[in-house]
Amino acid sequence: MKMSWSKRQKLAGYLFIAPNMIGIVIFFLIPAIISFVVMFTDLDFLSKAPVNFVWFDNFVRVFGDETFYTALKNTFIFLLAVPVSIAIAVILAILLNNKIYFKPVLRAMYFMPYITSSVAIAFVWSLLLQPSTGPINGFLRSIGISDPPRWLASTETSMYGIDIIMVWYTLGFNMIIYLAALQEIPTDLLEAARIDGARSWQTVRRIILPLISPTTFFLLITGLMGAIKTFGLIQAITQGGPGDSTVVLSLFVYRTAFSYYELGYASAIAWVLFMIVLVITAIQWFGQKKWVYSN
Amino acid sequence: MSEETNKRLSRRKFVVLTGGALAASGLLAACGDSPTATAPAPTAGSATTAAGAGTATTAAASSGGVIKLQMWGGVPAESGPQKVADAWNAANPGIQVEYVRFVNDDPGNLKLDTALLATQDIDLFMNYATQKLQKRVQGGLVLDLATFKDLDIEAKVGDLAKPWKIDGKYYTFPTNIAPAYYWLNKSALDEAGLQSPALNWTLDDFKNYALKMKKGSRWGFVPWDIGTLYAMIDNSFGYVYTKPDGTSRYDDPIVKKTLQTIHDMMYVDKSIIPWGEQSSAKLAVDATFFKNEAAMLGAGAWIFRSSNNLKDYPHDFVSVFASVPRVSSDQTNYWQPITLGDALSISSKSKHPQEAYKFMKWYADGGMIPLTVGGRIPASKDFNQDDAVKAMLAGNDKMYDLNSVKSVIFNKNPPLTSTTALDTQVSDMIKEEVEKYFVTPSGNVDTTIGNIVRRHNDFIKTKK
Repeated sequence: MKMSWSKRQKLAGYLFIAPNMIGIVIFFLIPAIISFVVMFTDLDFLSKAPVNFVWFDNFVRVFGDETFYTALKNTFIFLLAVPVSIAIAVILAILLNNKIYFKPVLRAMYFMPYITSSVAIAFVWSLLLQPSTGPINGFLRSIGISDPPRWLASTETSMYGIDIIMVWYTLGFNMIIYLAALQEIPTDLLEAARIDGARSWQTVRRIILPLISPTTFFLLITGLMGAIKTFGLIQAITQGGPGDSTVVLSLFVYRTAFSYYELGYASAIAWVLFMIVLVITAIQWFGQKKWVYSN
Repeated sequence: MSEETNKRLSRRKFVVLTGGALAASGLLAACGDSPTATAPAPTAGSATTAAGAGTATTAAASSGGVIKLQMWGGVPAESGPQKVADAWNAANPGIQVEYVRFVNDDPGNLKLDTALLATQDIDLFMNYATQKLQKRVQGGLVLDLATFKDLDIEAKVGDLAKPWKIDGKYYTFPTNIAPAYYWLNKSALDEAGLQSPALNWTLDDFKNYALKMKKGSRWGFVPWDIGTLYAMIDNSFGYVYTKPDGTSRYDDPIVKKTLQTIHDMMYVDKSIIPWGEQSSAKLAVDATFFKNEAAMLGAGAWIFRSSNNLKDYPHDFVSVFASVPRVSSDQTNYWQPITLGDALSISSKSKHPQEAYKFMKWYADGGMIPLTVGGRIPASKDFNQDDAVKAMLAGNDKMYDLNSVKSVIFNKNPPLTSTTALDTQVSDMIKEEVEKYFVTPSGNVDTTIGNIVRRHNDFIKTKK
């Protein structure tokens, strides 16, 4: 059978996207559909008991579950790391975009954490943040803070300790993206500003920041989505402890599914998590008109 | 919108939905015990463990009907299990055992459960917690040992096997005695002018010992994990966690006394390293004890693995053993945590259950002896306990206070009235609440107990 040219074109197109699509369908789409069905049931991973459709019971349980609210609170504290990391990344990128010494070395150094294993990060940071013998608290004591935070050893500060690690971890990636954005800024605009007598702060505020705002928007959206799903880093550092002070939603889902084998309930929590991501993204999407520059 | 498009849309929607449902049911069925499920190729891990002695015979005789058994366990192959498999394989050329290690944590147990569900490769596997076994039994993955008429587990290993019963039946053969107890540094005892603790010492005695033995940078006591710090509560309860009316028993004064004493030891006496520091620093507990940075260690038999390893854990003091202290001296039914562990089960999908059973009996009756250097003592009455202790001490007799070894490990417990363990969700919740209290210097014990009781009662209600 001979195919027409346009059909062959289409077929070639489908073949090209097939490897990716097959992966998405098998590992993402089908599990997502299954979890959508499962969330209305009381499915247990190993149990032979018949699976019942309990419909919205799982959601009633989520919203009555203390651990859910703890995890929700912890997740929001964890998300603070994203804007902080972005803010520091802008400053570093602008500095590193100028003529300074050891530029490639510094860039590589900032990017290093991003390609480090989270287990190694967990190990090093738990030493750095050690409350009595760690160098960070040693420094804080030397500048006169007699009672520094006990970081990962206290239920009140552990989430902020993880925030610090997360900022450090994502900084390099954010900075590299910003550096790329800075290269895109037309030099004539900067020159014109200089000729008009703009000081460097004014150039940054009026020209650079607005021009890289699409990048900021991109980093904020992907950063928040990535952070809300973060699992490995926290599992490696604290496993949710001390107490439940660093149990975020993703850890809560994992535990419910893979320690307690309550797949129905875990799917329901996962879909609530999805709704939260959706709402946060929607807010940003509609809010972007106010501050993101586009030509 | 015309009717035509409406129809088309709904038809398309229908196709998508059915497709999804089909895919879903297909996958779920694949997860179930469909007899057509194909066994995937052995994992890389199993391939490496197979590379021991005995592979030559296997290869040579594979056409001659050699039966292959696969056994999953949590102990690294090089710490004994490989020797066990080699010994068996040499003696039984017709039944070759291959050992596969899984890490005994949540992801590791999940891996085992998934393999039990989806493949037929596993013949024998180890259980390390009754809650995990219960899940496996509920999933129909475990063979009921009543199939083997000549087996009487309680006659073999005694009443201590009872907590491993699921719904009144034995699905598993607990093979080793896994007691939890305290290790004490004899030099530190002598320095402080203290005698070896009596078998019925109390929490207050313990507090006193820790305070007297802490010296300079040496702590009085270091726990293996947070559970060690409040094990006295479980020992007092003896598997009864609710009151006759079905509500939580955690408002018992024993709980308050235990938690408060340990908290005081951390922040008033400063004889125990504050839990937050220990956990956030991921302290190497056994090294802390053998480096003389803690005078007492709350752990159990598994420390023998480090203790007998004088190269990596050099120390020159004698280790004395003590039972876990009781909360008050009048507790007549205080239950020492002498449990049976390493519970060996046969997969319900095993194609060779008779051969697996033969191996199981051989293992329990002494085949497991290469694991004893790591503190694992055979529970079987048919194995001489003195020989087991001798193997455990690995020729380092002068490093241990022999009297206390035997009196603590073979300590007799009062009979149990109940043998059902706490649900994992509840024990995790209690751990969380206790941890919050232990890491907070100004923590309030009544709030902690209030939270535990409330959350425990909530759980009891949702289970109903």
